[in-house]
Amino acid sequence: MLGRLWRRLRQWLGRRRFEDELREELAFHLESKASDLVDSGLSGAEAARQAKLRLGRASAVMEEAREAWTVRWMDTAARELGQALRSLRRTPGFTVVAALTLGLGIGGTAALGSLLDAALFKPLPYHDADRLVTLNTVPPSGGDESNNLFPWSYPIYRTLHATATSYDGIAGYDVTNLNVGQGGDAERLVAEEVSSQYFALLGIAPILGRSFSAAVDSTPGGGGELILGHALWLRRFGADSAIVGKTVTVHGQPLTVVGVMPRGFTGLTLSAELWVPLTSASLFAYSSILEEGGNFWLSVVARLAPEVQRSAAQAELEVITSRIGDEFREPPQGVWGGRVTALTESRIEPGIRRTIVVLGVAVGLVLLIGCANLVNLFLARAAGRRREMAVRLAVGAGSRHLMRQLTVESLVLAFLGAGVGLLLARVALPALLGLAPAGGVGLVDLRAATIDGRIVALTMALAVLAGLLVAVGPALRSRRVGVQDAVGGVSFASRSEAPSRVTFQRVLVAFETALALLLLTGAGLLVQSLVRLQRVDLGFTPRNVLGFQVSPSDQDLSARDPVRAKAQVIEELRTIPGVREVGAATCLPLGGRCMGSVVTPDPTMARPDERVSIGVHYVTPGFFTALGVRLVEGRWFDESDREGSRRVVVINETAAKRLWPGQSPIGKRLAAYTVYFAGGDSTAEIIGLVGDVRFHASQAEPGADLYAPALQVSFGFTSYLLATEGDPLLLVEPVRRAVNRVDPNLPIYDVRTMAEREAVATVRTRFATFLLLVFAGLGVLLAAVGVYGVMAYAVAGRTRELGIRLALGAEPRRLRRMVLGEAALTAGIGSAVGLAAAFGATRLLSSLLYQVDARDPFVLTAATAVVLLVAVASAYLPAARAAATDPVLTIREE
Amino acid sequence: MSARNDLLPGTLELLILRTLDEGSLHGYGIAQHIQRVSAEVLKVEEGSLYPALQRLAVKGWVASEWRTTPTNRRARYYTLTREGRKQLRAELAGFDRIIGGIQRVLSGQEG
Repeated sequence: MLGRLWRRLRQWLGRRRFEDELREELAFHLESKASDLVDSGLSGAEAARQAKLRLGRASAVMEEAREAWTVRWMDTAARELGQALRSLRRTPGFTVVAALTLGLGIGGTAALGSLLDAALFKPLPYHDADRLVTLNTVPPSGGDESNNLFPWSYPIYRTLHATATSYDGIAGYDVTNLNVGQGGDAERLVAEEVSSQYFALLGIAPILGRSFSAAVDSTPGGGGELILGHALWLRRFGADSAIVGKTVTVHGQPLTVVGVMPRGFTGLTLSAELWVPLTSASLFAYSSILEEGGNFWLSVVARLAPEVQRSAAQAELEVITSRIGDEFREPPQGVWGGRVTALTESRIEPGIRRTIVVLGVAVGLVLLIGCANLVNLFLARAAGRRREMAVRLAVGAGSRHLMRQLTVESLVLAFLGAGVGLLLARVALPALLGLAPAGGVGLVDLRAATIDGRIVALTMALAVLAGLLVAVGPALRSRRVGVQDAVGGVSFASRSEAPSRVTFQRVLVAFETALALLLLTGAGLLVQSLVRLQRVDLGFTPRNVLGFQVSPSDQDLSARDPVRAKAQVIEELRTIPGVREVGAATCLPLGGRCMGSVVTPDPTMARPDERVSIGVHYVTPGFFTALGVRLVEGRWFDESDREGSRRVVVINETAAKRLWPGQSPIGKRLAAYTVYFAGGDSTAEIIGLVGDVRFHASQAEPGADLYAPALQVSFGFTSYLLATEGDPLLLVEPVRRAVNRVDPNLPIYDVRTMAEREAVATVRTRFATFLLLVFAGLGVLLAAVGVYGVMAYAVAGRTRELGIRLALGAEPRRLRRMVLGEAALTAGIGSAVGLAAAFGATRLLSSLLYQVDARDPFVLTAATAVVLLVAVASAYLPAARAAATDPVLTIREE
Repeated sequence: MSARNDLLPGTLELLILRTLDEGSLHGYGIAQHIQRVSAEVLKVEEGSLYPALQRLAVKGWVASEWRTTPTNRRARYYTLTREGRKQLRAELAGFDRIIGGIQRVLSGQEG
């Protein structure tokens, strides 16, 4: 076969020479013939004429000789394609169902394939990304959280920068929101604060101007430099090619544009529209942030020097971080660690990756079920075409030819399906991307997932695979068609189905049932998990609470005393009719990004092993009442807990459990290792114990939290909470006016109800659940069609047998029960296999589940029951038909 | 198989293979040989000869090369390949069976 292809190829490549040689050969023939004829006595001219006559027209001979090589071969392919198309057109119902079945599977697979590609395989858009690493600190407490990676404080980062030798470059970065422009023209934009090496490290060069100068790294306040992102440059500055050197007001500060970044680059946070020097944090956050050794807020990325192994870098980092304690005011207690992680490892958040993988597997299963169903359809159709096939055999078509024809048909179907699938994928992909929040999923931008050449290639490969898979069964079967089938089926065997065929189809249906059950179990578990998630005690009442943020910078309030200005904002908000309570805090529940610290229950800080990582929140007294946080013991803050008064804190139940297990924390004192209690004493008294509030995702177990009175420490809280009488969204405009009465330049942003935040926090799970339900539904539907098909087929094939049974006195009811029983048996075997598979797949799923065991008996039972019921129900029609067989008719039919 | 051929389908190829079994020959030589050996009973349709040779070449049963004839002309000589020889054996056996069958039918024998 290969040899033949090779010879054909060679002939084709040398086809001009082939023609010449053939012509020469024919000329030689004519001459030899003519000379022989002359020998036998003919004249020269007559001999030539005769010779030509014998040979026929040279062009025709050459045409035929050429045909031997190519034309016939291609002609065959074309003919077979035509035959397949005609045959598919004759059975439009079959064709549409088959193409849709495959299309759904292939389309879903293509859409998820492009997501997977973006999530896992597309190279990161940075220079030599394999050498890039992220560096983290590991606090000594350990204990409470197993995988406790911390960012860096600025002083520790400086130490790292000065001492580490494993790297070609080290850069610090953080993400923040900045006001660009002034007054009504101001926009609030996402910015990255980065050190000067950041861009060079990633291998990103500005398209205009330059990156930050090295000088900014040692200039607190950032030296007034600013770099614009491409989108911002286009949108706000009209792609001004002379922008470099111009001044832009950022957070009230005049900054000079030094460069513009290339299109598409949005930093490692995937969301930045502009960049300011890392050192400008002292300007935009608060002035002492660069001096706080215990305030961990900075991410670090580095490029490994050539020939430095990651393990060597890790060893070096641990030495450096072991001295972190030196940065604290108190003597070091406990040894900090460090962690070097390949940047590529953090390319995608594990949760998102698992979701995509699970969905990919699910859609692959749907495709498999679809294929199994198609095999069944093909078999049934092939049975209907036995006569056609037999006639073809009888007139000389080889059985290989028949197989080829079946294969061509199923391939044509598969490509139809692939076309449908690609269209579907185009429609489905944007919907799928709804589960991908902008940024925050890692280093890859899932929104960049597209149906590109690779995906089209994958789709086509899938189509070929599916086509061949589908063709194998029926093609093998077609070899058994005997010529006698054409002549009218005299023999008994040709009318009644050979049992092996039905067995084969039953196996297929059982297989479908198993896969459908697997899908349904997965969907059921996710539903269950979602239900649990909706019932989670968030620790607050989201109903009728509005959350929003006001510019965090004290600079905006530079003209006044920031604490008083914020108190004024709260007073103004209180005057809005319909407002029940106003609270303020450093971060909102379910929002992530809260501050953290390390505390100890021992005010003397003598026992390092008792450290506890804790979330730190600066809140006004109204915070607890506005959110409806549960007070367990002690009291809330009140207006008397302010600057100069006794230092007090409120902790949550998890913190109490970790700090003083089994005891009431009220009246106890704790000490903090960070500057949050700066100004003398680092200890505070606990006056209240409150319920846990979920500050991160709603599925994330709450950690230890500490609340300090915002009025006591002049710290810039930025988030406000408004408990309202009615719909909180009606108050958005009054809120804006109230804030602007204090300062017309203050932009408010991130205005959303807490209920909406709760919905957003679970959107990923809801979407995954929804998709898995859709896939499971498709799977069950296809399996039902499969059961129906095979039972209908079996009943039709056994009409004669059923007729005889009825004639001999069998009750129709019993026949019906027999058919239903067979369906139930098939589905039952499939379900058993499916259950076993579900048990095997628990590890894949359990990471997506929230407080649901992947072997949840209720879900397993319910899913099995549904699948069995659907299977038996879809066998009902064939069963009824079996019972209604007319014995007289069937016997006469023979 | 061409309708111009008076022979049974496939017979021309078989005859070519058998002829080449004796040694390499050019197209014209093959036609002459068949005609001569069959005592003029089988006349090769010359127009069919060359396409048939090409079909055999596609299948890899014959190979060809240009050589000089005894009369000092350039001609394409065909040679049986190893596969061609194998095919020839198989076809000869099959052909014998068919001929035997035909003969039995024609002579009216039973079983």
